[in-house]
Amino acid sequence: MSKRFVFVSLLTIAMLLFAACGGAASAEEAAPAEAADTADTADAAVEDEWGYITIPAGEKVVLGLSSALSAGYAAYGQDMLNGATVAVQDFGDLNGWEVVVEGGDDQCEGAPGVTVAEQFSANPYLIGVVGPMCSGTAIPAIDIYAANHVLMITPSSTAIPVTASGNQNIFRIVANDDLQATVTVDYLFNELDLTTLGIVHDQSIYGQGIAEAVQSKFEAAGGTVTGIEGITRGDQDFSAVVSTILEADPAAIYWGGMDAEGALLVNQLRAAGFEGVFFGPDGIKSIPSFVQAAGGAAEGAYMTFGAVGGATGYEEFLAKFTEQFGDPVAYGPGSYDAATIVLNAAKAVATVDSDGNLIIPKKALADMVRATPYDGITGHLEFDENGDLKVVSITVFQAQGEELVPVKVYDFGE
Amino acid sequence: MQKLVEQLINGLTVGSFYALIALGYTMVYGVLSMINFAHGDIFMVGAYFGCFTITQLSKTGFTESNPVLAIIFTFIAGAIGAALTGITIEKFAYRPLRKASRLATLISAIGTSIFLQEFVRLIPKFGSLITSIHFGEKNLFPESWRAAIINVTQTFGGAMVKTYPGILGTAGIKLGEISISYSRILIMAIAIVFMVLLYLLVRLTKLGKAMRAVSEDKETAALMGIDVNKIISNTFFIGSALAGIAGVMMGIFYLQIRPTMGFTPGIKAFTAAVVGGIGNIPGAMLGGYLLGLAEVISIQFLPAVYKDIVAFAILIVMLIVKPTGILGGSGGKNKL
Repeated sequence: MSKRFVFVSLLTIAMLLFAACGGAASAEEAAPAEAADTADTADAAVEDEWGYITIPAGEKVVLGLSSALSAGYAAYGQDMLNGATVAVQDFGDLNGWEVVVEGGDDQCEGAPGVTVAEQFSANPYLIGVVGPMCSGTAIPAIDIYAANHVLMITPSSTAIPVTASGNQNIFRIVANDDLQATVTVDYLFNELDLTTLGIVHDQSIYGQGIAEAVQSKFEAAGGTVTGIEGITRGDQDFSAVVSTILEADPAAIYWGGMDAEGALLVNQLRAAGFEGVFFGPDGIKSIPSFVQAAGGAAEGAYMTFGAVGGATGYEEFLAKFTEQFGDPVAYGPGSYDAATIVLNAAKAVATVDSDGNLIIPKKALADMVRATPYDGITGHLEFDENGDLKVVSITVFQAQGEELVPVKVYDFGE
Repeated sequence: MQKLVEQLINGLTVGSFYALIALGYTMVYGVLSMINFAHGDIFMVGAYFGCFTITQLSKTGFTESNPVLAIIFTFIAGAIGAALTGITIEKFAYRPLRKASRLATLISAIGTSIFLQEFVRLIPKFGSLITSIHFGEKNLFPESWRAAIINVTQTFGGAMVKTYPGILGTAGIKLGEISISYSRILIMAIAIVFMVLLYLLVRLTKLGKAMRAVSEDKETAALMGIDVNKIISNTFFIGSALAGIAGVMMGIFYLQIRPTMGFTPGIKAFTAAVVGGIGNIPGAMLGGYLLGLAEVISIQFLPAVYKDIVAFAILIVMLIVKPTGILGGSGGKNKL
């Protein structure tokens, strides 16, 4: 056996051990979390049925952020992490405890998102989670967060089922896909006067969900859907789908999916000679990963987006954000608001016990979020019984040059 | 009819990618009887080398003034980057295991594949890591180097998607009702040129003769004075360079590249190599184009989501009906 072989084997073993340690560490962390639930609660005035988060002096308060931090959709995920980071900088300390943001890479998929949810739920110093970024991640992860009574506020998971679970700890601060579809169809029909539409989606909970919502609303409004096709996330070549969908010569193409595939699709549509309207959801509202990645083909494309910054305090946020991270992409401001809501609620319910531990009752924390309207940088945020917003607005953007220009705003609720 | 012609052109474009990548699988199998599962990732590394080059050239304004030269440089960088990666992998991950069981090499190949993906993903982290090495007060690198290292590592790799500048645009020619973009024509032309060159190299040159000899019988080839290690190294060099060229084509055509981009094309190209007859060079080309065409034809007549099912169903049927592939690959006996 050569030395090299020994070396390679040792390396492999080392890698396996490393992986195993990762798992073991989270299992060990689970124990203190349970201990914290049953901790001495004498100091709290009312018994909290969900238990308590107990953070000893000298430890750091953790705010979780679940988003795609690698691969195709990382432009969005990193933007969210940046937004939450600025929120923590603005908030400062929580009754003397330092607050840190911990990013979990859920890759915008189900299984890694569940792993992130398990790791976050096992962290005894975690007060809440901003995200998950994608609906397909949020739906399976919600079961874990609900079982562990972890406060979760998503600024970006727009699929309808996200808030349909009836869990009291799940919140969303963006308009859902039903409203996005309504806006899309209204804009196509009444502003652009188009009556034929081809639809392509990425077969995800989010993409297919919104594509089918657009399809039924478009048909209900009297339009004709000339075809609906699914592609696979991560694929590069959609030219065959493009040829098929263009066969019926639709006036517009609706894309139900994210930026990475959206940029490829619009590029391949234009290369195939399509000159009509390209329309998409919030998943393509990104300058670097959609407009620029499409290499000029995105010019004139429309998209709907619900969490537009611009309300109270947005200018100050923007200055701090751009100084550190450049321009926000999409959900940076939304994440800022979500993080701030978690931190404000935690501050409102937190107490310090006789041993000098920071005590946060979990149920009271979620109730505080629900009961407290908040004027954030993306607008007035007030929750209904399901954890959805009472009042939302959706803006239609158009890609013009290297910019996304708002062309129409729709308001919903009250 | 017009749509069918368009679909065939789509299929030939995708097939060009599969065929170019499949050549690497088939050549390595030809000389070593092993499946190099890291080949898809060598393709990815080529795309990254190309992206780095063209990004740098665009920054200096060279791409604007000499677009043709810039594209040529990009291809050269992608091919050489991938080729060097290929021979390094062969030397460190496969050569030590050449006498070990086939399973050991296979596992080593899968490990290499993961290594390459993660390496490209983590390059910016390595950059900041090595620039923070201190000896007492003194940093390992002088100040000016550190900025350069961090800059280079960040432009080269990372977890985020990298974007090629859209040099070719979406323009094209119209033949009657059928529009073909220039980028498609370029890709098909490049693929065919390199495949012909490879075929001529293997058939007509001394190196090609040596490669065929090694593929036939390593021991006897060595007795005839052929440096077997060198020939295997050369085979990896050529196969990886072709994958690198395919990687750059992918970047120029689709614009986006990411560390995981090698997986699907790698698996598809492997399928193409098996369908054509693994170990057989014209077989790999044929398999690549067949697979590309099968995919688009399935999309034309079935819902698009069945595309991959059709592709892999072809693989399974082929393995049942004719395990040696259409052109009768080497099967048990090696033959390039």
